[in-house]
Amino acid sequence: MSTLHLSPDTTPNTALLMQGVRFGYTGADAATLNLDRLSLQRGERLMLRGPSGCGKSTLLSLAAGVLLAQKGTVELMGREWAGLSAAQRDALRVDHVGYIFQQFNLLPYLGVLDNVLLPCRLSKRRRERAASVHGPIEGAAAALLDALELPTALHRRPAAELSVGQQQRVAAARAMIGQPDIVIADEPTSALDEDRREGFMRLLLDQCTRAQSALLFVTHDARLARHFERVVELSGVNRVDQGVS
Amino acid sequence: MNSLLRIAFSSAWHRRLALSLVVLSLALSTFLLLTVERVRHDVRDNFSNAVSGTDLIVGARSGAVQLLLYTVFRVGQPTQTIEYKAVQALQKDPAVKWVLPISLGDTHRGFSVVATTPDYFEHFRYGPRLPLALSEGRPFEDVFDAVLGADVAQQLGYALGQRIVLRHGSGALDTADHDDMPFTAVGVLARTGTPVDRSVHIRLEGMQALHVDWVAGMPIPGAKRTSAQEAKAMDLAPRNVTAVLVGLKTRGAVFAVQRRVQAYEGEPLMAVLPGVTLDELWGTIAQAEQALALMSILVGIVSLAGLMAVVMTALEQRRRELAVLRSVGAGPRWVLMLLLTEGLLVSLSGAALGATAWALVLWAGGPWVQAEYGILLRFGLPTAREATLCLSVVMAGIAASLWPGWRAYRLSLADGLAPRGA
Repeated sequence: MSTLHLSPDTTPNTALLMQGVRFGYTGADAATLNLDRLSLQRGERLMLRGPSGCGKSTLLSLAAGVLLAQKGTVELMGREWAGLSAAQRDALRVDHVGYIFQQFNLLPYLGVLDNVLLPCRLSKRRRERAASVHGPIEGAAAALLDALELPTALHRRPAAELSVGQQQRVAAARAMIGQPDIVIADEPTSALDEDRREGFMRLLLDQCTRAQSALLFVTHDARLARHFERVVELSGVNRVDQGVS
Repeated sequence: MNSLLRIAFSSAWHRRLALSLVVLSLALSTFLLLTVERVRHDVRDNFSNAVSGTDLIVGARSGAVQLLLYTVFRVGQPTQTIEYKAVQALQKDPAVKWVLPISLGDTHRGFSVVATTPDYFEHFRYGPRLPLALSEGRPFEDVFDAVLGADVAQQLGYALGQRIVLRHGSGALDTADHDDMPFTAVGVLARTGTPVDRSVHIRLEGMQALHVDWVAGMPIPGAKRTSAQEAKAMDLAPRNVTAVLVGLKTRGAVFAVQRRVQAYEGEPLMAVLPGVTLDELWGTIAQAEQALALMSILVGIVSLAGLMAVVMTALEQRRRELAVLRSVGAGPRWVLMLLLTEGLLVSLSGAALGATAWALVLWAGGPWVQAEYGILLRFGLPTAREATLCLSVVMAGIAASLWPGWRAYRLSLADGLAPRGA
């Protein structure tokens, strides 16, 4: 942690900070994202709302350090992505970030438990944190799956056999294992029907609270706003998007 | 590393149907490579083993390879005979230590009959210069004694005292049976792994007795058949032999003796050096061997192309999988390693399967090859060269995975957590 450097706007409580970020896939002129400032405090629940195609996925890839901004800074837990090597970014991501996709979250050929344990396999920090609470990491995975109300009988099943709702809960368990500092969820409820959506939100938020993880939740569904302390309209912060739509 | 292997295995197992076809074709090419190599190697071994103590083979003038093949390995066309006087002349040569005249042409139930002198058991050498040994019985003494090769006794279930009817020629016509003069098995030779095992050995006098009534390969029509007892009373000194195996006092004299044989005035003779002639033989079949080896390599290349195609095609459908792996901290290099590991697993399975099939075929088919062609294929651990062949299949499999691996690397870099087109 010798390279930890805090910018003036960063406090030790900041989980994610994006400032003056500009990103385009095909060159500087066709910017997809142009963002002044977005921050997420530790333990905070932030909902980022916007219609599809407004740069949400790009923003999340930047936040998770998969893409690097062409301009501006993106810091995760006080470390700037741009200052790290590719391997360091991969390590920092799995150490601190749990990620939930819209759908197809699981590796179909692994069992449910093995899917949940993936971050522990690739990160010592996640493995140790999972073990510190539950002993063996398999116990931690099982406890999370129980908390997310996935029947024990399914734990050893291949992931491909699960329903969509069950798969999303397994994905949530994988994002939460080893208490990452920040959970990023990219429309995780869009494939779920109304009842399952409410159930999933309740379980996800419970677990984030228990693990004291910050939650960056992206959705186009305004009805979910009541679950969050803070809601940001992406169109309000992304200046590129304002001009287009 | 452990998790990489585990994930690679699970992922490959998930696509086992397509990959198993690749494994099969890799197994086939491994099998071909190993088989060509083993046959090539063992055929050479067999041939060199069969003539290890003989310095020169003397026969009627024809092709050197033909003479060697017929007299030592009993394959190919019979050569003309030479007069026994030539044998006696050879024996008087000061550089010659021993001569083994042999007369071929008769068979017993598909096995060759070798008529020779009792010296055969003393001077003939095979393999690493080993002398012949009897596993039971004694060498031939009487005109109608026969000593059996190990395979003859075993395959025909013969014991000492067995009466044997020889047949003139290669055995197609039963009218050519020498049934009026049966032989008796008096000895069985220990196994040598050479054509000796597949031969019935008799005295030259026995061969002479068989043919007293014969002219030009046929019994004289209408003539009274001579009985065995009558034949024994006749002069059975051999008049012709097929060839003479010659041992010298010093190997250094080999070319001088060869020249003297070529210059023999009684009839046109030739003397061939078995080693040199074998090299000549390998030279002529090297092209066929190379063609076989090339074919195996081509099958290998096609298999590798198949591996590449199957992995490459699947990659498009695996972009989602790569994104998930990226989200849990797998870097592009990890993804590359995943693909290479998959290539390793597939080619390792292919090589292992091919080698197993090869070992099974050697084990099950070896006896048949020996019975049919007289060539002993070793069944045992792979040689260093064969192990290298297996290893190169595996290495080639990994190399063939480099391209899909590189593509996966690029895809996972470009897609990040948002796979497009998946």
